[in-house]
Formats: sequence, structure tokens, C-alpha cells
Amino acid sequence: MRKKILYIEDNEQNLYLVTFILEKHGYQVIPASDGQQGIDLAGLSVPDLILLDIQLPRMDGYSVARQLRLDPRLADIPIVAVTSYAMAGDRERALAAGCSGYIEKPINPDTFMQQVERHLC
Amino acid sequence: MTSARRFWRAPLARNLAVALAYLATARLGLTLALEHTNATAVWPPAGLALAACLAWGFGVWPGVFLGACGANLLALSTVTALSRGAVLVSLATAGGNTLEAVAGAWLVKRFAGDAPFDRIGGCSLFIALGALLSPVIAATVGTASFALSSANWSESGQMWLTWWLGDAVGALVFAPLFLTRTGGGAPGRRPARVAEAAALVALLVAIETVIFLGNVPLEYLAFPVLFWTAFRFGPFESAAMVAVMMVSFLLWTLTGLGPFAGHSANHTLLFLQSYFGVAAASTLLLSTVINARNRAEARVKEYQENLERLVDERTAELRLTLDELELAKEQAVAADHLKTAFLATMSHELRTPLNSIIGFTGILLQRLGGPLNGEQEKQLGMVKNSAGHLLALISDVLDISKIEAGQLTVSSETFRLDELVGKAVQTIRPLAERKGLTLSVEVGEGVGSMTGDERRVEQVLLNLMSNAVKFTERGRVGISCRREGESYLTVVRDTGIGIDTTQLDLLFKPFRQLDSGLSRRYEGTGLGLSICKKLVELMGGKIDVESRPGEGSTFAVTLPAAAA
Repeated sequence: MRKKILYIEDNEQNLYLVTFILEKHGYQVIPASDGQQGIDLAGLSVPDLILLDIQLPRMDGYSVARQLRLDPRLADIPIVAVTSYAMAGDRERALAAGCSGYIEKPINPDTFMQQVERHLC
Repeated sequence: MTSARRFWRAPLARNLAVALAYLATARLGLTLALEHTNATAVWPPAGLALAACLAWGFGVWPGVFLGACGANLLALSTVTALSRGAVLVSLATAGGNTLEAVAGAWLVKRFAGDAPFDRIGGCSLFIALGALLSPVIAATVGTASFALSSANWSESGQMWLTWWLGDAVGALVFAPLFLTRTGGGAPGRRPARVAEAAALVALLVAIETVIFLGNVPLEYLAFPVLFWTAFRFGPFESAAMVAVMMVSFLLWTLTGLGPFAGHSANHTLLFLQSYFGVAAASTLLLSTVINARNRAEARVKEYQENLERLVDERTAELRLTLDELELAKEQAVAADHLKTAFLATMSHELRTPLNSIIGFTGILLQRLGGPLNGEQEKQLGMVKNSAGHLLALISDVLDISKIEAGQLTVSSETFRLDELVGKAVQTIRPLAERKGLTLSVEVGEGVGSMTGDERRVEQVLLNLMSNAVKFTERGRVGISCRREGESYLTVVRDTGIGIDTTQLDLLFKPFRQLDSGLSRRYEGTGLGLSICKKLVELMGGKIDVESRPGEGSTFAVTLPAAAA
């Protein structure tokens, strides 16, 4: 069975780009365009991995991560922050909010799948 | 200036005034002269002439001389018929009077200054030089002319003494009267002051009534009144009170009353003169002391008030400055927040489009979108390189902006330095191989975990190594890492173009890619090394460089193994 990856991202091009890469590598991608939708879809589908943009409208990625971790069914699912935030301390903040990893934008197509799959095994 | 004042400034007017005043005061002196003598107990013109010379300068001497001639003729006419001899005596004596005034004024000005009644020293000198010494001149000249004209020297001694004392008392009593002003005394409301002065005069009259009508030798009772005046009023009022006392004493005595009368005329004269001299001198000295003290007190008070006002003003200014500083600080903090927010936004906004460019180029190059022909692959490779370069530039510019804004911070996490070096080498190796350079790596056994900002350490290593590759055309590039005590020493070596010694200082300054000729050959912002230096310093380390042009460069990075 194909593994499910939930991708929460408000930028359409980014959503398309990452979805395309993941699907080409055989994953099923569940797209969500804002935090609340992402939380709802995560509860419904219980994915194998969640990719989370940090700069989201209305509810930022840190809050989304904290919210996701409150659901016991989602407690052990890896959440990887994908963000262009590059200020010192962003990584720490993401980890503190409950994320398991951190991929910096712009993504490196050559290493992106490696970075994702490190959290799947 | 009013026309009246201008008139009194004219020398002629002044001389005329002095002459007339001399005559008038002489008339007063003669009125108070003892009967049947040409000697007066007091010679007020002596004081007037001295005061005129002190106040208006020596230019008034003709007025003094003229007044003195007239006064002497007037005096002589009361005792003898006017003759040629009498006129000559008058002229000679007037010469003595004039010389006395001019010499006295010169001495006082020279030794006691322009304001002799401001200080006790000046006042003492005025008494000694102006009132006691200079009358010697007039007394000597006058006595000599009289003796010469009458060819009789038998009474000269007595005459000299009374002449001298008369002029001395005249100077003591009247010169201060002309030279001082009202208002130097203790503070108080005007009606109260007037009442006090009137009471003092009344007291003096009462005392004199007792002394002269009762004919009791209690002359010293006048002193308390004079001293009281000196204590409570200024030098002018004191001099005036002395004058009032003197005139009234003389009038009483002239009517034959009181303890001074009833002796021989010469004795009476001497008693009165010495009494007036002592009274005038002590009152003058006392009033000067009191006045000086009062003025000093006023100055201290004024100084204190000024000081208090100054302190108040400064305190207010300081408070204002503090408020302004507080405001400026708030604004600076607000500006700081704004800067941070701006940098974060820029960082995000600049990277987002790059994500698409780099991402889709990568997808296409990985054939995820389908097969590519040779040209397409070559062109997409160029897009990929340019995008990577643009990303590096943006990162550098953002880093420098953060440094300039004081916003650059490093995180602190534990990672393995040996693994990080390996990772950096992996990234650089393809670049070195493309240029045909040997890449050597040497990691010591003691190199392991370190605490710092992993991403930033990687950035520094990548920067130094890619610089080494960039500036080396043939030979080798090497990186070595070893532990030295509490620090790790990482050295990046190359056999490249090297750096001129004179340019080493500029190496770590932002926007400096050395030698403008080179900057065309090697692309880059010239920001990398200044960022590296800042990053290393933020992690508590340092970065050193050694280089020889044409032989190569060595960059040594020292970083603490544990968190700084």
C-alpha cells in the first residue's frame, strides 16, 4: 500500500512542486491549503508523515504542530517543517512546537527525497 | 543722555560747580568758626575738594583753586582789612589747598583704588593718606604764608595744628558724604527705615540736650547713635549723621553751652577737632566694615539663589533629556523590532520564488517530467547553477543585513564536527575535481562532538573551501581538523593565487573582494569572509589567515568544543 503524506502549504506552486515529486516517488499526497484544513485532514486520514509549512495564513505552523500533537492518534507521526524561515532559532522553535525535523526552503531537489524518507523508516 | 547731564560732564561746568561749592562750604565753615579767630574747627571745603578730585579727576583743580582763593579772601576779610599782602596770602594758601586736594586724591586713587569705601583696607588708606597726610600740605603752606606776611612765627605751631586738624576733619566728614550713595544698609521696608532714621536723629538731639544744656561731660553718648547708624544704614547715612552731630555740636558750643565751651578758644578748638576726628574716623571705618559685610552677605545670598535656580533649571533640563532618551530608546526598540520583522519577511519573500525555480529545474533534470534532449539538459543545468548562485547571494546579503542590524544570532546544539567536515568535503569535491585539483582531508582522532550552530559552522567551512577552490588554478586544496585543548582547529589550505600582505586587513571587511582586477574574474559578493568572521566570533572562536601571493593561502578557524 502506498504511504500517505499530508502536505500543509498555502502556496500553490510549492504545493504542486512537492506533490509532483512525492507522487513520482510513489507516495499518496493529501494536500491542505491552510492549518485548520490540515488538522481536519490529519484526523480523518491519519497519514504516515506530515510536511508542514510554517508561514501559513490565520494559524501559523507552530500552532498547527502543537494542535496536531494533542491528538493521541497523531502523537507518533513524524511532522517535518518545510520553511523559508532562516533566522537563527527557527529550527529550535519548530522542534519545540512538536516537529520531528526541518527542511529549509528552497528545497534541494537532489536531496529532498532523502530528507523526507529519513523520517519514514 | 539728557542735556543737563551733558552739561555737568563739561569741564568748565564742573570747575565752576567746584568753585561755587567750595565757596558755599567755606561759608558754612566760617559760620561755624569760633569768634575772633581765623581758624575754623572744621574746614568742609577740604572734603569737598578731595571728593571732587576723586570723582571727577584732577582736571577740576582750577575750580578748587578759584574757590579756595575766594574762600580765603572771605576768611581774611572777617579779621583784617583787605590789603595786597592779604591777597598774596590768599593766593599762596589757595595753592596749598589745591595741592592738598590733588595730592590727596592721587594718593587715595593710587593706594586705595577707585572705591575706597568698599573695603576696610581702602577705607583705612583713605583716612591715613587722604584725611591725615595730605592736609599737612595746606597746613604747612597756609601757616608759612601767614607767618611770612605778618613776620610773626610765635603762633605758627598752634596755627599749624588747628589748620591740619580742621582740614583732616573736613576730609573725614565731608568727602565720604560726597563719595558714597544711599542704600548700603540693612534691608527693610522704606517707611520703617525713615522712622528709624528719624528716631536716631531725635535720640541725638535728646542726648545733645542733656550734654549741652545740662553741661555734663557725657560727649561719648553720641557714639552709640553714630554706631547704630553705621550698623543699620550705609556709609552715606553714617557720614550724614556725623555731619549733623558735628554741626549741632559746633552750634551748641558757639552759643557758649556745653562741656567744650568755657576754655580758651584754642583749647575748645582742639577738643572739638579731636572729638570730631575720632568720631568721624571710627564711624567711617565701622560703616565700611558693616557695608562690606552686608554686600558680601547679599552676594552670598544672590549666589545661593542663583545656584538654586541653576540646580532647578538643570534638573528640569535633565528630566527633559531623560524623557527624550526614554522616547528615543522606545523608538530604537520599535525600529529594531521592525528591522527583525523586515529581515524575516525579506528572507521568506526572496526564497519563495527560488523554491519554484530550483525545484522545477531539479524535477526536469531528474527526468521526473519526462525525457530531455542534450540542449535542454545543458540549458536547465545553467538555470540550476544561476539559481544556486542567486540563492547564495541572497543568503549572504541577508546575513550581512542581520549583522548590520545586530540581529545575527547563532543557535547552540551538539553535533559531530568530523561528520560535518565530511559532509562539506562531499559538497566541494565535485568542484575541485572539475578543476583538476587534489582535495586532501585529514581529521584527527580527537575530533568528535562539538556544541555550536551546526548550519553556521557548515556555512563557514563551505565558504572557506569553495574560496580555496575558486582561487586555485592548479595544485591542491586541503582541509585538516584537530583538537587543541578545549578547541577545534580547522585549517583550509590552498596553492592558489594568494593574498598580498597589504590587503590582508581588508580581507574580512564586507563588500571587499580584493583587487578590482580579480573581481571580474571571480564572481561573488565579497561578503562571505566578513560573514564567516562574524559567525566564528559569535560562537566564541576566531579566524586567522596567512598568505603569500602566488604560493597560496591558509585559513585557520578556532572554535570552542563546548558552547561559548
